[in-house]
Amino acid sequence: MNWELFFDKWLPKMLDGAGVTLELLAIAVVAGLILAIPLGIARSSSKPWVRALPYSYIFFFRGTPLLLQLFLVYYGLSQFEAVRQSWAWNYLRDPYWCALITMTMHTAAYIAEILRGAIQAVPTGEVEAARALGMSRSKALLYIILPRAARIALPAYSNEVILMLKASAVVYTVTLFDIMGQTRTIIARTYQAELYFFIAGLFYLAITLVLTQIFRFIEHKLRVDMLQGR
Amino acid sequence: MAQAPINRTTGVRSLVTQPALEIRNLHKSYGDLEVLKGISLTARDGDVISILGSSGSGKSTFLRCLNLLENPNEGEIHFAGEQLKLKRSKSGALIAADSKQINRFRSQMGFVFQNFNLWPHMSVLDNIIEAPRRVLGQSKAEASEIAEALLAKVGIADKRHAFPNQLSGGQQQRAAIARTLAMQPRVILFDEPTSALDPEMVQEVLSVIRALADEGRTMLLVTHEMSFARQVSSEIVFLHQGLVEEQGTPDKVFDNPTSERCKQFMSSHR
Repeated sequence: MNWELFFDKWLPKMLDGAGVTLELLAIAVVAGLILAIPLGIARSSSKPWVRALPYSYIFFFRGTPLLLQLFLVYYGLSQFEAVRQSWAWNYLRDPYWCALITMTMHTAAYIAEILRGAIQAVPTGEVEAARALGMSRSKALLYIILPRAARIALPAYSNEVILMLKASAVVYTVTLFDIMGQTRTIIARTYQAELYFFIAGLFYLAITLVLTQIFRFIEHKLRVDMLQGR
Repeated sequence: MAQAPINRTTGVRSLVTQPALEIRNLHKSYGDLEVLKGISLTARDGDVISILGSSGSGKSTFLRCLNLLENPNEGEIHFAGEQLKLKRSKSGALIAADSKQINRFRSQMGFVFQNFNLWPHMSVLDNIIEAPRRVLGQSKAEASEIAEALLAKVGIADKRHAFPNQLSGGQQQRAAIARTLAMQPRVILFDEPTSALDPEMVQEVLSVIRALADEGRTMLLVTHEMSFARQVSSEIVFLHQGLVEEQGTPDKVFDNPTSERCKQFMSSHR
């Protein structure tokens, strides 16, 4: 084992890879959350025609593998002349954007479903209390239901973020150098497969540990402990 | 009905005959089951009307119809002389025709729930100031000042920063009453406010309600606390199978009921 080479060359590459993984993950789960809020609200509507679109979206993205969705975006969209002529091609030609768009849309479907469950889990009486005090439907949603649902959804959302961290490993298949991408490149040079896969595993574990702590902190800040039964 | 009621606050017999709340011929069905079969009731300013009756007589349903937490099938609701605009939904029930109007009515018609329904993710103080801020447009400072006074009034000023599930049931219900009072309602509806409480906490909530009655507040109270109802009410309404079976002053309804059903009920609840 050449430690000098490891610290000077391969470890920085792994850290670069971790940077790409974290960047993709952070943007995808935040953008996914923003996209999921209207989806989740519409999905929990009592009107069938409002539910239909988010339902189809969620059905597709939860019903097919992330890898397949990534290939559809990366290999599939470029088959259309119209796509290659449009402004969107500036982004869709870039594997980084393809991965980001796919991950965002994929996680948005799961988060929307988490939010729907959380919105429907807000006890009826608490919503009635808001309406009985004269809050309109939208005020009750904004000031009572969504803040309450956010706390119900938080543990499931943190779980989804950790699942996405691990699912993000598929992006190496479209030439991105995330943790997995860098690991495979290094292995191609060093032939030390077991060592570098092990190190890659440690990277994922470390990130998971940090994410868990961050969500624990947020749960504490939002007083999620106050929602447990009396 | 010949005499106008005495305003309890001022002691002056009011010549304004506009009732605070008037309900005409209210009907409510769940499918084939007719729960309310035409109930009329008038509450003048300062009235404390207790609604009694056995389980399933429609008391809570009646109260919940008044601010449209339940949708009646027939009937009229007049609040401070203004008729609530209703329209028929596809399911046949009457729903609010003017959402601004129903929200305004609700903001002036307090409702206290059996299960308190405080928002568990907010402190007691935040529970109380939320609606005044969002509905009445009060500033946080203004709403907080009023809330502090109300918390002192219901005797839980020291709990302002506590969360609902850190409080006893009685304290939670008092916080819920303070939340309702913060909207400065013209009428308060109480839906079995002590039924979810342990026996030792019933009195602390009843004494808060009694104090409100003594202030001359207009209240409708669905309750099983017979002796309390007798003490605080200006009028008792006894419901049976969705109809007003007996109505009158507490002394009349408790001591000389004319209906056989009411006699039985009163004798079994001594």
